[in-house]
Amino acid sequence: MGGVCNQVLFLKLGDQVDRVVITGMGVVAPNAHGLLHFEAALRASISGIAFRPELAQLSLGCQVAGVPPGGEALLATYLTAPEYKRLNSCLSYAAIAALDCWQDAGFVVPSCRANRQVEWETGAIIGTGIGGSLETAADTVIPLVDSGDYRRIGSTGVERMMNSGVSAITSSLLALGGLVTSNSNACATGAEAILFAAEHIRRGGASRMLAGAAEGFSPYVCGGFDSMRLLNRTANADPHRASRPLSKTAAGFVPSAGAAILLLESLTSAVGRNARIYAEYLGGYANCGGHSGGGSMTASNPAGVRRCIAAALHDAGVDGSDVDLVNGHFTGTGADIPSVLLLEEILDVDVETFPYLTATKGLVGHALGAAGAIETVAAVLQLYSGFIHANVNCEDLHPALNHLADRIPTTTLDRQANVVMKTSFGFGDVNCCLLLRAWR
Amino acid sequence: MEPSVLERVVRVVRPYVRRTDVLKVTEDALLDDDLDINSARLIDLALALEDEFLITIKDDDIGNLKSIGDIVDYVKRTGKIVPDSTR
Repeated sequence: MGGVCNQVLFLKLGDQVDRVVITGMGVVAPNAHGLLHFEAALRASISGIAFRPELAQLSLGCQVAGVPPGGEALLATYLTAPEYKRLNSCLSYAAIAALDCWQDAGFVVPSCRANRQVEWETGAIIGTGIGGSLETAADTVIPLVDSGDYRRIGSTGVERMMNSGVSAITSSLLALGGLVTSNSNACATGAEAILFAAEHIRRGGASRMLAGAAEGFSPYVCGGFDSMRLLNRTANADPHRASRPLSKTAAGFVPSAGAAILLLESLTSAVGRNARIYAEYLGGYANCGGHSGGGSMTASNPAGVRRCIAAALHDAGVDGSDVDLVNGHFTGTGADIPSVLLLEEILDVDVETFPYLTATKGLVGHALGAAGAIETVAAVLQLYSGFIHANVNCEDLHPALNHLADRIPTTTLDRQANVVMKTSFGFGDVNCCLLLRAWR
Repeated sequence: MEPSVLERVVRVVRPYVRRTDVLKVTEDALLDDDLDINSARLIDLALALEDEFLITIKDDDIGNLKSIGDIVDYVKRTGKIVPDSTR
């Protein structure tokens, strides 16, 4: 047995629970690729939202979106042509974020499939909300099947459509041998992946876990949300001002795509290899509001949100007054204001000591399943580098939040936060809350 | 000069070789053991060969292609070899 599993063993009752830290990150966001550029874009309030001709051609109401830069030229710097031509946009964002994360954490990407070492102590929980299935179905599978030429789908159709493609491609690139799986829980997917991965390390299931999420770009996904009248149709001529969380003139969210992957690691492992530590994962919680008490497929039950955040604070061992920065699930829809007011009630602190609020979606749009992961990277960068990024497009703050105006900065602040809360809420009345602390 | 069938097969196969330590693809190279082209990737390779030689490789025949030599023989058995479209 020792030869098969010489390190990772699940904890038994009474065993010491190891702390979990973040030692690597990779991000492919609409406004930047790579940590350095992403931090610079956050600091300088660079928008990743642009007019999308393909949406206009289809006469969608919302014709702006956030799509990561780079395309095939970027992929060619990471993968060979046969490798990247197998991927759709969702898988390609996941692959780049995973490779960046792994190297950022100080590991070497295996170059040769023959005789490579399996990373038995490292796993991955990387999710997606809708993923690349719709993109691949639309551009490959449906046309070929309908024309009777299904043979030409080839070997990659299924792997591009399966939800676990995002974790599978990561394991394929990095030879991961721990738990490798994919979660999916709408817009809570990314945050939830981080929660699940941290829990897996805590219980002794792995020394390291890649965790995060990816979301591809497809006009058909945009169409679905547009039909629900959830997207902003009023700013097609002014894309940078289209995503307006917390604003009086918020008129719907802006769809986007991308990926972010973090390396979570037991403190023992991180210290043992002298790794750079970005931040500590303190705790978290996920639940569902039961589609009751105001909750539904598209709305949150406030009681569920309340329980989720309270349980996350308890798990993290901190009080509401310890939280000094919240990266909220602020999308630019009517849900923003009730969620801030609910947060006020839950944290139960004075306005003067209320945490700063940041809405990263103002810059990158709403990357659906990947949003929580991209925004967690933003939160960690703010903790690590000592800044709070500006909330853009809410210069006309919603009047219900006027009393919190000082806590919703519209310029970037040089400010060292200690504890940050990341909240993500999703269709299906699901909630997830994470708490992270600056590493000292 | 028109390239040989072997040269054209090697050109089509090359992007599907997953082993990075393979410097030269020879006629006796085994697709799986020597080139790390597994049964799933062989499906894609068969489609690429169909495009190159304008042939149809029957599904039942794909599994019998074990080596580069097998592919060359299969292509030659299909009859007339279409000219190299890249020239």
